[in-house]
Amino acid sequence: MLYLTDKEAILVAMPNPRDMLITLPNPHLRQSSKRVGVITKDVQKTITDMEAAVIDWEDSRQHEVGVALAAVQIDDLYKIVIVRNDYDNKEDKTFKVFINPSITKFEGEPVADFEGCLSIQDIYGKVPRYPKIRVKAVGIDGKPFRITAEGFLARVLQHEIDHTNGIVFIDRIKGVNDVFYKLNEDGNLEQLDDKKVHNSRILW
Amino acid sequence: MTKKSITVVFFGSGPLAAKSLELLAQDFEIEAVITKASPLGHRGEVPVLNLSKKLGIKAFPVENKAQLDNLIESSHFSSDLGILIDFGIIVSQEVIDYFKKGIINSHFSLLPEWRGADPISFALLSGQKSTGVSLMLLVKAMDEGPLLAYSELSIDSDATNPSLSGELVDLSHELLKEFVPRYLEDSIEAQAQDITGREVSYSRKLTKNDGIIDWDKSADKIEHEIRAFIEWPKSHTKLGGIEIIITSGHVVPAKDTKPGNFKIDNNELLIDCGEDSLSIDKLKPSGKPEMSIQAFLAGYTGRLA
Repeated sequence: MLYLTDKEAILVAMPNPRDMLITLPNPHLRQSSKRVGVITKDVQKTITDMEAAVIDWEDSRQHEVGVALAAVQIDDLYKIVIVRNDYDNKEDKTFKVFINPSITKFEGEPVADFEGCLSIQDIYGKVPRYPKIRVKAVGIDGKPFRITAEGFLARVLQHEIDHTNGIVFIDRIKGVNDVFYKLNEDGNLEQLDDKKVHNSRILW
Repeated sequence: MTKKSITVVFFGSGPLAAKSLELLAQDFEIEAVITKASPLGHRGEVPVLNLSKKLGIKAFPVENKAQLDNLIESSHFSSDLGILIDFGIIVSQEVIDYFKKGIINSHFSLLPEWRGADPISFALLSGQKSTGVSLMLLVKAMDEGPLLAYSELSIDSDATNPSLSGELVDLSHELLKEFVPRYLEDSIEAQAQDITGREVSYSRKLTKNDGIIDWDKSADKIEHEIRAFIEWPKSHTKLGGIEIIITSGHVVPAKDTKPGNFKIDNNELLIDCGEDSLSIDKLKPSGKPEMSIQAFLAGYTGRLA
């Protein structure tokens, strides 16, 4: 007979928001998301869920910050991206919303730097990204807007907009040596064996 | 997308370091704290060590430069950056180079003004209208490193050492929060110190003797000292055999003064200085709590003869 204590019953009813996150090898991460037509209550619900997932995930991680998320990462295949307003301050749990985001211009020469992903646990990679981009998107209020992003924000938006097109960051450095790292328990990045990375059945 | 939290090693010893660390720990991951085991001039207190325990951060006490060198040589820190505030130990080039991005020192003046151990007291003593905070990349030559950022702060005419220190600690934190991430992203360049437009000057540690009021100085200077020394060493004098600490006063223009002479006039206690007179507003007679001049005169006038 199935018997649940009160505590277990609650756990079944209310899973952790971070459990909504999908990770590799889930094939949905390599699918392109659909454009949002009208900003409905469902879209707003998706955004609320995404925010809760990032914050809950971050609370479970000692050495990392949840910087941004695309809706596909909670298995909702719409072009919706949220980016932390202040990703250097864990106390600031607010996000900016980008609906149907696209990059209209790339500037400068790509620069390689570390990035990680909520859908690829513990792995960091040195990914080349343009230092400056222009992005157009629609806000949560339904109004279109354009921004110019530089530096780390430009990196974040390129990473997330890739998600909406079915690309994860490791796809940008597939087959490249000396760029894959693992975050260890102490919060240090240790270089991974390239052979193991390239032959992984989970990642590719 | 995710990123590694910014992780730093904190170097600091005095009470201002402790306040800064408390703020810093909200925004950065502090891998370790390195602190002077027994800071001089802080009455043997170890505020940073106590705070580290409270925050659950690993703390390494060191006594001097040699112990610091040994500690760094024998430790493994993964942080790319050190942040140093009110540390009190000279840092060798080897220690600076241990961190990939070096060590940022938050110095409580607009460098190159008031390099050295006590920039806050010396800004107050000078009577200047403003000071500030500089984020400097540590180099071997003391307080001569290039600046990543600086910000000016006006000094109120009634500012005391603790009030100004509090404002500077907050400003320092704002700067660190804003510019440490940008520095680690390589999006800001360090600039030579002359960018602040301030002149080179040097501060030093205060001594107990600084607190003995020299009435040959101008009343203006003595009034600055009272506000600068209010926590330590405190402005002492002897008035008709009574030892007092002056905690507040104001300048009254006077001619032909006889430094050290005092007179009581209409509930006012005026002491002649090298230039002008100082009217005492608040004071602390030896062994008594702080009191207004009116209360003091009511109780002590007879003994001031």
